[in-house]
Amino acid sequence: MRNVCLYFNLHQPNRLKPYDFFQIGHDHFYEDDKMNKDFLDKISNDCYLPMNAIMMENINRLGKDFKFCLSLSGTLIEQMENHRPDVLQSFIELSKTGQVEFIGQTYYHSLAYLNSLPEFERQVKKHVSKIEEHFGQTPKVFRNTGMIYCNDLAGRLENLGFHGVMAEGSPQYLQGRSPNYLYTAPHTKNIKTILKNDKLSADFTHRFADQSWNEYPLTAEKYATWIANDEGDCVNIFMPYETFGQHLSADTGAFDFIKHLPNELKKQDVNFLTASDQVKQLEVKDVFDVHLPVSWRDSEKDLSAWSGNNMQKEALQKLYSLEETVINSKDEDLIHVWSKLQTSDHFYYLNTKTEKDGENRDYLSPYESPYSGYIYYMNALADLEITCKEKS
Amino acid sequence: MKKLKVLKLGWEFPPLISGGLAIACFGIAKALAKQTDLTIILPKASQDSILNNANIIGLNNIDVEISNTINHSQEEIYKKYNAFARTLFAPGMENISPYPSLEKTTTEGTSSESTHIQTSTHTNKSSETTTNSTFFSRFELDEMYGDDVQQKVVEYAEYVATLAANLEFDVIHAHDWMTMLAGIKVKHQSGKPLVIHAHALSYDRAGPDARGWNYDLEKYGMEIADAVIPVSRYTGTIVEKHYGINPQKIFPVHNGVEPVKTFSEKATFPEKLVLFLGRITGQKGPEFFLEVASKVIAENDNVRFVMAGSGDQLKRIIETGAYRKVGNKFHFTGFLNREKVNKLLAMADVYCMPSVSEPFGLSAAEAAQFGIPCVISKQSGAAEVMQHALTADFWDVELMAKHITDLLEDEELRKKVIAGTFEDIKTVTWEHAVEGIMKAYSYVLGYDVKGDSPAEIEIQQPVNLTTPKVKPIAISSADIQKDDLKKIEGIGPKIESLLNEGGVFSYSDLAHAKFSKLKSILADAGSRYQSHDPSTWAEQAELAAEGKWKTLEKLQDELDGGKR
Repeated sequence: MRNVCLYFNLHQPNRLKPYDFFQIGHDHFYEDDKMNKDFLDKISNDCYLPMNAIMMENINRLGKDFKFCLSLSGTLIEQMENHRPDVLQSFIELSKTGQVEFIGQTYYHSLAYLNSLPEFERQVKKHVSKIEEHFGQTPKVFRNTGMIYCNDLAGRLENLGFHGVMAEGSPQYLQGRSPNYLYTAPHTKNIKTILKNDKLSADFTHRFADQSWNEYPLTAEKYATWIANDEGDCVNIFMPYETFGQHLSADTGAFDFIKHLPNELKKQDVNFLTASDQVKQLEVKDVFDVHLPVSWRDSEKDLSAWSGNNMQKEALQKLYSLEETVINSKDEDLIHVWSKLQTSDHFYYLNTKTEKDGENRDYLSPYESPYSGYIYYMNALADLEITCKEKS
Repeated sequence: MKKLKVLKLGWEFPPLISGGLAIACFGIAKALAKQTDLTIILPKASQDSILNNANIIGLNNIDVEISNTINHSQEEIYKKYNAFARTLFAPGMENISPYPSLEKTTTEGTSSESTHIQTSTHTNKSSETTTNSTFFSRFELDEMYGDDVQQKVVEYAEYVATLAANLEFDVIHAHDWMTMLAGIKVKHQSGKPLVIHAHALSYDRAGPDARGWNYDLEKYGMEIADAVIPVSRYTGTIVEKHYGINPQKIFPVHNGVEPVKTFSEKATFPEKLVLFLGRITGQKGPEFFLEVASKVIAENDNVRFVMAGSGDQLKRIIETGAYRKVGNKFHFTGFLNREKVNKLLAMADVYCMPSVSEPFGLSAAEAAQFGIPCVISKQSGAAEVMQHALTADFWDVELMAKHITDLLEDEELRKKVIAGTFEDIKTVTWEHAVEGIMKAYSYVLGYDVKGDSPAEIEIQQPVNLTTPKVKPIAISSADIQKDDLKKIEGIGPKIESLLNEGGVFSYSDLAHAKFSKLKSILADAGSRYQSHDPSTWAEQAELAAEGKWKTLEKLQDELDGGKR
């Protein structure tokens, strides 16, 4: 039996303005509203709206045979509520077909799991409520920010009522085994681990537009045969929704590819499964034992993209040192402002990696360098500290 | 009497300002023009470079052809000149910018592809190759230094010499290494004495190990010169000790400080603010500022530090600040325009200048004018002028941190430093500087130079050039009200002098001194003084300060050796 699971994550951060030293103490609004709105407009036009239309077309054409998974961050949903209700509506329309499973994550797309477990739990629950509110379903499968995963995370999610968790199929932990099976973390009973097939996912995300690749051009037909012929129960193709139209611009043919892929997969007799389908239908193959957190980010696939250097560590440490005061204040606005500063992108912009990973950061970061990003972030944090001091 | 004719060779001049050099040259020229017949030759002058009573020649505004005016091979000593004049490129001189503006952020290390010294094959051969229009094109985009700075320096010398052949002057006055070659050439051609003004040396920029074309040129120029005018005694020491220049011909002259318009503004945050202002390069000691900040922040929750400026050390300092976990209290502004700089000065509670080597340090003087108490390194010219500022060696972060903490917490000390430094600065004028310059002129000419000013100018031996003496706590007893503290029962002559050293001079000082401070002054003086009890001194001093001598007498009758 051959199955495939298509999973797309979607997220937009609330980027900060170039908050300078002279603003500390009197300017309590840290975000660049206009920039964030412009980013949202652009990504909506380049990706979200055309992709939603294509996926709707695929559902209409293939009916119950076609399904996939989406995970939207709380910050993105809020941005759409505020600026683009039309785009939010198009996601709601997709959800109404019943062919889309919504996957849980931290509301603020944060690194809370690594820094504060109570805060992590708060954000997981907040996200579940938000998904219920708009899409009428309760997420049962979870994916952490940056696909950060370890045994402990699976255990905690089990306690929170999830029956599945997604993770990177890291070769050092797979040890020669295939990612195309259902796994489980040690000492868990009711939660299964679903692993990304890194090779096949990256064939599309990283190599589709690479003209020097010996498989270039990659057609939907060719890709479907690769998936059909890969060993195992289910191939998990995970990628950001923004791959379409942003990382791979329209002229690469990425939209045509996704438009034809479901048909080509059908031709190869490949079934579509959602994450929850896998948990319910597939047998657990083995234990996937990960002691230290891994991620799907950068060449190291560890935590270094967000907390590899001293600036990132300092920013995180100072932010979470405010947790107690902020939460105890019971001031919803203050809690929200503090929470939005937890979004992982703020820390990702501060990494000082070079070469490919560095280029990728420069492409995504709104700042001229990690150093200016750090200066703005710490200035804003200094202002928030003053507010907290006044509250306590 | 006939006015002295001075030929000044400059590089930067307003409105082309890249750093402190332009400001200093302008200040000197303005004051000098009042007393002498002044001609200034600059590589580039604009219509705005106008100064009353001075003749400013910008090489960009005239047509000159280089003529071969001297045969360099004739004299042994000028063989060395040839060696410099033929240098088109020397390693280690890429992007040299001795007075870079704050804007020029060096982000990456400079690549040095060439490692050999290039020399031109046809040098000093009359006007066959270049005209000054090609020369001038090198100065486009306001680039006063740049990769081809040697070539600019050499060509400038050629044009200046050609021009000077038709000028009348008594003394040549060259500023820094860029104009030294020109000065040497004109001296040789005219036989007139050469005075070199040292604003900044390669020692300041690159440290004591710096050698190479730049250092050699500075040393050669100052050896040939008839007198050297460093902008401080500190720099004079370097000229003597590091460059081996005869101290007899070194005449330190402090720069003037122009009065600036000041204002004060409340910070928008509740904490106190300590300010560092300047290029973030090794010379300015930014890493010491960060260390000082870490120490102060560890003790004091109510303070922020801000580092304003940009430079090749910025990234390193940012990362170190994060490592030291002071990221929320230690801020960076990057390059700031004048308006923002003034805003910071208006907000700051303490100014800190921990320079490793600072010929003068105009920014500290400006801070003092803004009424900010300053903590400055002893390795600066400013420390000689601002005698009431608190000083420490640049590496002595403990003492610098203590000074800052004291200034933040001790209101009396703070007031004293502010008022004292403010007075110090008042006497530092360009007119005063020109008096010193005239002394150097007199020395090189062998007769008293008198300008319009009737004041007699004696030819003096240069002032003592030993390392500038800085008082441990830089509060000078001059200009401070001093009372006879011995009138306080319990205080004898020895304790009085201990109190003076601790900054307590008047009855009022004593009345407001903290008990703990008095105790520590006594404790620091050794076991002999620890038994003295200062508990009634403040009370007595208050009566003395108010002139209530009768009441004081009555109180003292009740006391036993100053104790109850």
